[in-house]
Amino acid sequence: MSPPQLTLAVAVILRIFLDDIGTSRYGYELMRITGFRSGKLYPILARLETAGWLQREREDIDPSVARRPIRYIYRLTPSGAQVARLELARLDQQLGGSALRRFRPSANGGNA
Amino acid sequence: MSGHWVIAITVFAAVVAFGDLVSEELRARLDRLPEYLIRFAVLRLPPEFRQGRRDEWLLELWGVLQERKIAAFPLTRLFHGICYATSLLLGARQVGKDLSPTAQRPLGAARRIFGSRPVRTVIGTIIGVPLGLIWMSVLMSGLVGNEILYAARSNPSEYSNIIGSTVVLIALVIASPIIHELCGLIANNRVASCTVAASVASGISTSMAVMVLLHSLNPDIELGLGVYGRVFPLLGLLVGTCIVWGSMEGRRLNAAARATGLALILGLSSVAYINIVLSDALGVPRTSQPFRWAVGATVAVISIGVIGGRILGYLSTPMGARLFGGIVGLHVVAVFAATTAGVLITRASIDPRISGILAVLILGCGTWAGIAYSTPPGPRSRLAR
Repeated sequence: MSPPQLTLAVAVILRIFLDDIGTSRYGYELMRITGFRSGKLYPILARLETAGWLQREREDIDPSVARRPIRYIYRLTPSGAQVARLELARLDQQLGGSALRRFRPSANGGNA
Repeated sequence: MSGHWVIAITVFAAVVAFGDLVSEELRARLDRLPEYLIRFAVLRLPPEFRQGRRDEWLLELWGVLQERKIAAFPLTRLFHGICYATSLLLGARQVGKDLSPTAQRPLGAARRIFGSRPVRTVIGTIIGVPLGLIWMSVLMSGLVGNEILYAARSNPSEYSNIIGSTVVLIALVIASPIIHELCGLIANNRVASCTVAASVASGISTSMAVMVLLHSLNPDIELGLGVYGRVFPLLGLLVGTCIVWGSMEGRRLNAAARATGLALILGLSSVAYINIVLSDALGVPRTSQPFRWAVGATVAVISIGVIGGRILGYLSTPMGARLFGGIVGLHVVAVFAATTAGVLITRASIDPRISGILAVLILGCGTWAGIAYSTPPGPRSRLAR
């Protein structure tokens, strides 16, 4: 499987996952953090999933207990985390070390 | 209080109640609009990914609407829902490509001919398809059936004509799977399929209504004219002097036109059949779901057109009303039975060759019935003149 093209948007998504590797994210949460529209976010998630960097799975919860429907969540695979880290470092280097940080998303949405 | 007031108040109350119902219905439908858009977006994905993504996106939609705390504001909720769903609709094709980057879409003939430019594809489809396989194979076979009926009796009656045109409809519906396959071969895309279905439906429903209208204006025009009127442009292209209008004298179909038409039907049908066999042999996948919906829409339009045309004819044909009325019922029942059978056959994904054979059998039976049950020679009714 060929690695996905590392655009700035892809880098933003990867950065979110890398910031907290153990945390699973769901689509709307990522939309809220990045400010991406659904039509932009889901192709990226699909690309990363196909490349094996992200793993998508159905949440294992009881909807009646959680009082919300089950979500589909994404998490970095171990190999994905490793490659993503390298790729981001390379991109960061190419952009002069500061460009990517400028687009690092904040926790409450938008780009910091 | 006078009776008029009672009526006025009752009517007013009924209108208000009805208005409430309509507004409630609209509100419920609008509320579900984002969901419909998502379901539509999912259709743009490869089939194997649809179920999972549909679940995910619909659940996310719930999240979008709930987590924003906008559940109590219908317009805001609708706005956010539509924004989310529209964006997905626009991005869904890309999601499909990203999920399945190596999957090759089957190339239809139109894609090979017109390339991947949608405008050219649509224009090419609109111009080419109605002149293509559908009209010339299924509908013109009805013309041939009618001509056989005409030739079989020196004094053909309205029965044979009506049975002839009914048989065309039945054959068309029964043959819907084979039409689907033909469309898949003409252009393996949704636009082409829908265009074909629309052209067939509009052709049939319009010509039926026109036929009855013409008959009401001029009783000398025989029933069954719609079939001729429909294919007149095609025959006119083949033979300039061909006359297919109305009365016995005017209804002289040039032998050359019939021969050429028949040759075209047989030729195109053979080519289409060979293509189907080849595509099976080569394992080329054929899309089906969109066209099934299109067939459903076609059937609905045909039914509405036929029934509307017949009712119009019944109301506006006092001279032949009794005879015509008797036939209306029979015809409507036959068409409904045929449409139901067509839908069932299409949904059951029966082999197109089997349904093709069925269509031919029905055409044959219809032709025989037309000959057997036509009015015996003798004084002709005014309707049949």
